Amino acid sequence: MSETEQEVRTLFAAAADDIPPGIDLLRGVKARRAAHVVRVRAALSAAAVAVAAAVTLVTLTVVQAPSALAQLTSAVSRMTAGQSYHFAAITTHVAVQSNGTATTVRTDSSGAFDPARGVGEESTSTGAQTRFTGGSVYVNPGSAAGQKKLPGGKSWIRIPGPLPLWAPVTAGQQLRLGAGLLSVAETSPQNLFALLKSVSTVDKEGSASGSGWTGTRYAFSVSIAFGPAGSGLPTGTATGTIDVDQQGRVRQIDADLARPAIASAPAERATVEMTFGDFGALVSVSAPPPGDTFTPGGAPTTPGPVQHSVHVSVTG
Amino acid sequence: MRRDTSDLDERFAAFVREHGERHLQVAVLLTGDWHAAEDLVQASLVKLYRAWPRLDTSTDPDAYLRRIVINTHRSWWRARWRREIPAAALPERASGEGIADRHAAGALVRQALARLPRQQRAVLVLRYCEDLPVAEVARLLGCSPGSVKTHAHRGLRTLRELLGGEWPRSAVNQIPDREGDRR
Repeated sequence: MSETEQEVRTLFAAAADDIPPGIDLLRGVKARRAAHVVRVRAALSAAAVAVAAAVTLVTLTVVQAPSALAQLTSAVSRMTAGQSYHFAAITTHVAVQSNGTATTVRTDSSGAFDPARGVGEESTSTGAQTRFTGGSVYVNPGSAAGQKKLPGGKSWIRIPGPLPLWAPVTAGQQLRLGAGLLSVAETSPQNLFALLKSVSTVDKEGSASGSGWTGTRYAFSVSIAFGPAGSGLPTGTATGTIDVDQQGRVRQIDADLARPAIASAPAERATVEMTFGDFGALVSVSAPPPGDTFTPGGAPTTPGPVQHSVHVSVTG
Repeated sequence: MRRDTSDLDERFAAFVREHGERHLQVAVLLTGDWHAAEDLVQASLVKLYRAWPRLDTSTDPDAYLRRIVINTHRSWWRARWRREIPAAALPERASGEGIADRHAAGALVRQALARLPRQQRAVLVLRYCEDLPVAEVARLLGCSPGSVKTHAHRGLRTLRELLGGEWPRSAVNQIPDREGDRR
């Protein structure tokens, strides 16, 4: 055994030695088992009641719990108007050129939103940052190429709010203001929730769980139009699943988005895996220094036209 | 025929009393904090309890639980929310002082570990906390022995950089270019 290995063992032993008082593994296991038994008994009891009701009915009428659509819509609405949350996401974006070559970019992002106050912030592994202060959106492209587009050597660009629906909020090398071609890679929570609000067909897939929560998984499918209304651009699609916990909060979104090629841009695909937590945590956001912020003179002071219309596709 | 749960419960409880703390210590090195470690071990113990009646005499429940802990941690990590988002820097240490506060030192090492990529962290914990041979670590993590050695080498280097002055002075510059399998 080398001296280094021994030192590491010593470090690890010290790092795991200070077990705090109050940890009772057996008690926790018993509690989890008891909770599981309660859920199983509740499910069996509910099933027994359902069977009895069906037998005694003269005509078949189905008494439904809130529909999958209603539950998903409720959860999404809660995320856009309720408690604050933190999120983390991995987006993999693929642009397929006409000659078949594909460019793949993975972006890790994280941030926090307080939808009730209209504030939030996002950071990505590319260095890009976005801050939402309620009245405005501030974007730092992060990349040198992106910042070269900003006059005066400034790092930030201000987009007067409120936040446009499905607008590009994670700027890379292409800054887009107002109407314009939108990329399926621009997947902040706000964008995804805006998209999910428009879903009208949802299938319940089954149970879902994570660390400290259990809930339900729903599958969705929706088509997306790009560009300004009437632009005639082909529609894309968004499909995926959304996990909602027992408190009605979104815990995870896994989505696949695709846009077919058009004359001015190759086809795109993006997969997004986004998780949510830390509900109710304080979200504090400040605007970047005015001296480092560029406000375009021609930028709209009111939101532009809605950047997409949603056509529902029937699934299942 | 109803299972006799009393005997099973007593044997399971005895197992947890004897081995639980060890797995908790491994879990805190994997997760970075005691709360998450407790969560991870309890979730893993529940899975072990359900599998307990099916374990045959050749199965070592301790090794079985270790596998459950590693797999559960990996699945939680893949669920993204358990992935730590590292702070920009480790907390400042009081200048001019060595490791004087045992609890603070332990937290420092856990935080440094938490900044390693998951696979490197798992390799270091399994190699230097659980003292498992390379082949066993490779089997648990589903990678090659060569990958285990690479992860260990890189993990040790990064850990040394992160801990800086807190790394035991005798070990500075002694990390070999390539770590061999000495077991």
